[in-house]
Amino acid sequence: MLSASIVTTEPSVAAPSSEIQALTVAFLYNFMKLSEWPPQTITNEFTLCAIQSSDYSIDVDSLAGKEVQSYTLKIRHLMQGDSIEGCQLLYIPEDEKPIRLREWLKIMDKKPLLSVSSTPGFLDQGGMIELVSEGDHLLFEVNLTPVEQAGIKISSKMLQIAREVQGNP
Amino acid sequence: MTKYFAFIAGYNFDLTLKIEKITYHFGIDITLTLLLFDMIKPIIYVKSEVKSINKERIFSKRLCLTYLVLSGVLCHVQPVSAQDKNSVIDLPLDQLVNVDVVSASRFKQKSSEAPSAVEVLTADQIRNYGWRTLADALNSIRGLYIRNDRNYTYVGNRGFSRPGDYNARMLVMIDGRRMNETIFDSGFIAEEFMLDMNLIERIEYIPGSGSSVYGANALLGVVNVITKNGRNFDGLRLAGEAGSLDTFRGRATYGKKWNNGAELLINGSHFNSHGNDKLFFPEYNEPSTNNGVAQDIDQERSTRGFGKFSFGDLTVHAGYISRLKRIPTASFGAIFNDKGNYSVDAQGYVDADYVTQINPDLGMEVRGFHHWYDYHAISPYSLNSVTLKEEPPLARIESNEGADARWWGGEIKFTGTQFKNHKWISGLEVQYDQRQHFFSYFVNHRTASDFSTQNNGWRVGLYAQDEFRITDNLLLNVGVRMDHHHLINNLQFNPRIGLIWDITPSFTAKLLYGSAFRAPNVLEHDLNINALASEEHIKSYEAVAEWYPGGGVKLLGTLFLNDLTKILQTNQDFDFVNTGKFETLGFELGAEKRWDNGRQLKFSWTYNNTRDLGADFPGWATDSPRNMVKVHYTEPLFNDKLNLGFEEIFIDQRRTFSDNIAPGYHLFNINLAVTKPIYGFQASLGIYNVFDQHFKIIPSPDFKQDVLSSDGRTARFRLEYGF
Repeated sequence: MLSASIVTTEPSVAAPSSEIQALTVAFLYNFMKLSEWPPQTITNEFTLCAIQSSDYSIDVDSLAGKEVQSYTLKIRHLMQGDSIEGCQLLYIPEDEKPIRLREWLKIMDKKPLLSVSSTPGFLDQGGMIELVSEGDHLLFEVNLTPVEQAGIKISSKMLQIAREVQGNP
Repeated sequence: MTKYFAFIAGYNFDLTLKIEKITYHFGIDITLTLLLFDMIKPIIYVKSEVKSINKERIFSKRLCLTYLVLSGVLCHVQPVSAQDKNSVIDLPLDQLVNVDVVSASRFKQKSSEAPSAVEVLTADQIRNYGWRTLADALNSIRGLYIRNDRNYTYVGNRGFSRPGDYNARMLVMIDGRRMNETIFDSGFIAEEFMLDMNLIERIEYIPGSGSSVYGANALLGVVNVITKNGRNFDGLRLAGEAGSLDTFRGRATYGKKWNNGAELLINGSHFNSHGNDKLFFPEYNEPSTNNGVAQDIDQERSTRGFGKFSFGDLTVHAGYISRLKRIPTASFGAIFNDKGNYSVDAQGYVDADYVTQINPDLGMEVRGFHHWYDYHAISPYSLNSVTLKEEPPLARIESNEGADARWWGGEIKFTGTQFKNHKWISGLEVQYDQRQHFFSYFVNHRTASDFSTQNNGWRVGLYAQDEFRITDNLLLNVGVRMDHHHLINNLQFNPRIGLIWDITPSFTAKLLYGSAFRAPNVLEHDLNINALASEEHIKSYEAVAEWYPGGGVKLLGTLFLNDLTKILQTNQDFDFVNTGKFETLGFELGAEKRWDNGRQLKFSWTYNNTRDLGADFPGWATDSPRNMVKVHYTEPLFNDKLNLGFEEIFIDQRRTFSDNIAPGYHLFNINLAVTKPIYGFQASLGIYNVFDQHFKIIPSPDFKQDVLSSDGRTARFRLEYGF
């Protein structure tokens, strides 16, 4: 709450610009703030899991220690074969091999875990949130079907901002 | 510049502490920083409080009031700058969707263009293991081995090493720009390398031949060093280092990214090491040559500068390095135990590049560059040995050997994704070697033996590469490059084919084939009297298997064959001729495990059999260790505040030029690093070669010594403060 008030008091800049990596991290942070997980699945911390990328990596570590819904945020880097136990959000980089992307989605099926990727066609494959580039902006789309199967609630505010929402609310 | 950094490093105050055999020196650089700490302590205190979480905000404000007199405006400025550092992160979602994406950013972050198993070393690893130079870092990579002949530092690769070559068979790049100079084609990797280690974001090593993208010299591998950006520093940082053998380094770095997107990074450093007081060379153990002792001739000194400025899609890089090394080995028949034997290498470059995304499916990079390289070496000789007179008295004359080179050029490169399942890269690289001047003469004794040569000419490379995703689990990577090089007559075509098959999500197999060339360098080209030197060639074949069995484990196996032909060697007339032929067959096994708390364990074993097939008696090549075993272990301590790193490197025995055996050796290093700043301070203490092994390396045949002893145990302490 306090942090929100600080942001609003800051003079607003006309059109801030950012590199896509930093922007992606900011989106992930917001998705965690605006979603609700089944209470029994939360221990005493929130964990954001990111799959290691061979190409270019986003700096998710800058989020470590930040506060999300009064929990401290922890960052975990995963590679193929690692357990997703304890993750609240899984970020799959665009360069993850198709066969591995499918494997990750299979492992996390119906588990209370929010999946995010900028891989084109991510929602069609069963992903929950896809980051989409449109012109100079980065937007996102949501597929509610897997989100609900996982028992996660996405805030209506977030759904309003989404470019497209698939699946029945 | 030198004077300024000398002030930071300050050699005139030296506190020496002797523990067993190790000598620790603490220079004034540390003391100076500590003094600074006293002066600014109150401000740091406030800064660290303000940076902490919101709950403590009110508390920190009170602190601010208390120290207002001391810290002045800093108190008011600090929360704002802490804010805009994370400006995008703290924006609410409805504003995030309106942020303009900097178009080229994705393209810029792209790593090396290679289908093979790229080995990546990160800034964290550099800190955790306390690597002091690029050579220290490369020594940790499977299949590589490093040697230093007390003049330069060289790398051998999967059993292939040619003492006498200045790393001309490996391409060294900074941010994708070729750094090998144009006289000897040296790829500098140690104190003579352009970058300070703190500037390195990551080091990528691509084994195998890389001429299909990068052109000449990418024979055995490509090293690409990616630099950090201004935002990684966000302010001023001062660092001081002190180590054994009277070694000091002072460094200042300033980095900043402004809200308008402009980003700046400036770094300067000065290094000086007295080196060993006395070095004993048994080959010179005679009363006339000081009983084999070279006294105070091991000094090394370097001065560096690096800058990087980017605004929008345009980035300008500039770098400078000048290094002096005194030569105690009396190589090339010089007078032994003479302080006036040294070499100086200076190199600089400016590079401007413009990266843009023409449309979502087409990226373009245009760049222009200018490099220069100056070298000179003074070596003392006995006039008797020059005039071939046997008897004394000894008359000392100095030889001055040197070179100056200038080259400039440009590159245009396109990356496209418009065809489904294809990702292509194509480019044209042009370089004009404007000046390649080499000279050698005796000072105050000009004779007919004076030598000078001057070359100039064009290099043009045209390349294309396509990454074709045939099916979901099968990827084909095909590339080819055509090169024109003014020091060779015919055009060079070098292909590279890679097939990457994801058999299961956790098991990948790769098959790779590539070829590469190296044009003769200026000396090999111009020193010939009767023969004509042409290009060297390699064909490399590799099979790779990668398996991720789970639990943070990665397993790796490779099988490789290197077929090197037309390798330049000197014949009985001292001409360079393409008669060398080498073949390497080997395998590598690697295992890596990461734990959730950050602990890491890494193991690699390289076995190879490298045969010299061009020798009179074909067999085991010189300076070729059959086994190399490397173990790395890092353990975070005290909630990630500290890190303890262990490094063990085993290099097997090698055959010397006199057909002796240089025994295998273990190099064991320990490093303790403060990973998170404590009141703005970061520090590390490294102990290198803990077992104090004076292991033997093999110098070139231009040395009287068959093997040279390396330094024993040394220590280094580093202290850094961020403002």
